Amino acid sequence: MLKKENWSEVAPEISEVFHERFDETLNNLSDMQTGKNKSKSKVRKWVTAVASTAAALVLSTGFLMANPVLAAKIPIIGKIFERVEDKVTYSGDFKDKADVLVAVEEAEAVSAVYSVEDQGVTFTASEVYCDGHSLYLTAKVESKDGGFTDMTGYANDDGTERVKHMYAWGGGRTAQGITGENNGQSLEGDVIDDNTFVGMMKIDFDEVVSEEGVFDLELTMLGFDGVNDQIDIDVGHRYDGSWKLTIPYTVDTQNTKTIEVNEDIKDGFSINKVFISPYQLIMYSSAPYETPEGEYLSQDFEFGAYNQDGEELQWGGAILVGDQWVSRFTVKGLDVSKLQIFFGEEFLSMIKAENIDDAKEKAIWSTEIDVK
Amino acid sequence: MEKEAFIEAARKSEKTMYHVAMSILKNDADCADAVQQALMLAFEKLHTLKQERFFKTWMIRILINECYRIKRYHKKYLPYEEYVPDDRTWEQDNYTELYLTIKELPEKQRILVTLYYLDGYSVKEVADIMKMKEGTVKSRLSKARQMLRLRLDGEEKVLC
Repeated sequence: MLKKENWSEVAPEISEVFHERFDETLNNLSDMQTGKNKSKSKVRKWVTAVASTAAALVLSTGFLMANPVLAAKIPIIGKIFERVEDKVTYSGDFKDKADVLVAVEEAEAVSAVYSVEDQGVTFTASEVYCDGHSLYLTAKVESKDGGFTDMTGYANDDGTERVKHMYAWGGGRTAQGITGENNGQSLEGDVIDDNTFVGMMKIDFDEVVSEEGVFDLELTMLGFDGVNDQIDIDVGHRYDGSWKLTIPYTVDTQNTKTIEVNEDIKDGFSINKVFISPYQLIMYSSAPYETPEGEYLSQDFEFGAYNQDGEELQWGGAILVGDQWVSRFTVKGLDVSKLQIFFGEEFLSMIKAENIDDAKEKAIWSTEIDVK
Repeated sequence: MEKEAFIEAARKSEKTMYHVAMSILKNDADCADAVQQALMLAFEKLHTLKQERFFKTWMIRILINECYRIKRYHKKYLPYEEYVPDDRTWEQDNYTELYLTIKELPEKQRILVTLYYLDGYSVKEVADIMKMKEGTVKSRLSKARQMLRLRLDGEEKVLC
């Protein structure tokens, strides 16, 4: 057998030609701005906004940390969607559709059912919503070690912080044996204080679940990166353990829809069906694995999705499940009565599209699907 | 992800990016073109990267697409293998016998061997990067190992 660890010396050293160009490119990029160019006034606004937010954060965090009793009394369990639903990647109005696992007033009495502790870290499930394809679960994470106020997060296009991010590795299965994996292996949400974090995770099922049931969740790692941690080495602060909970769910059949499409695109590509809920669009497609020349064509395609007003449903990733590609898009509270779908021959062509007109120009195929 | 973090993360990925580009394009000049284009594209689209911990996977996917784009461009004019004038570059004097043999593998196996063995990605990570089933990655790695053994004429010491 080949042993992976014995191969480290096999790979060649970087050539001078390559390194010089690499270095030159990064040096040039360091003088440029990411994404769309920011005007000076926007940058000024951003600096002001960050300064104001930071000041407010310092004031509020400092106040609450100095007053732990008051911090503990702020209702959290049963109201986490309300706090985080606008800032998570798969955002939308969850609070009116989700089931509360533990109501605020009964939190102390019954939280033990939905609460589990390991390695000094307590994970408490709060609310749950299920659209049949994914389970959206909110939770509170408390750590004795603390350090949460240093937690990093994800940024908006303008560079301001959108949401804090905690790693939550794991998944589980329903009583019927349908497996689910935590999308992105993360919890997105808010730091309440140095020892408390609340957030939402999205667990994607590999098959559709119907009606109601229970999901046995097991997380094997909880952690976060601190502002001073090195990137791309490992999780900065991690707790390896086992957090197991059984989560009951009821599938929302009122606000979700599956539409059979079954349209051929070209050269073996086809779009089979779409599923839409208030939070995600899922597109099922088929693709030939390779071109006749043997290239990896399947990695070079992707769809773009827009609503009837030309607003983009952002691409959220694609995986191969069985024989079908499953591409996910965020809905983010957009009204979707009609979908405009575009197919690009290259993976980046749809992501690179600046707007629907650009997508139309780059697409080699498109279709419209009535959703309502 | 901030600009500084992007540049730092890119620097840490330089070796992997070089290996991946070389597994598709083979010569240094094209690899340098592909990486330059990929870095600029990634930088421009940095706001589409949802999770920083997926930076390397995301960056490698962009790079692979750029490599294929360059290859397709050349193919319009003449077959790529004929186009490559300096396939055997001066750097090859420093290549190990095993690496030279890897470079002779079919492309579909070469890139997987590069990612899995030379740069240490797991089967799942390789599957994510290549948008393949994990089983496909495993079977192609297995075929690649068989071919390497044959081509190295049973020199097990090189492979173990």
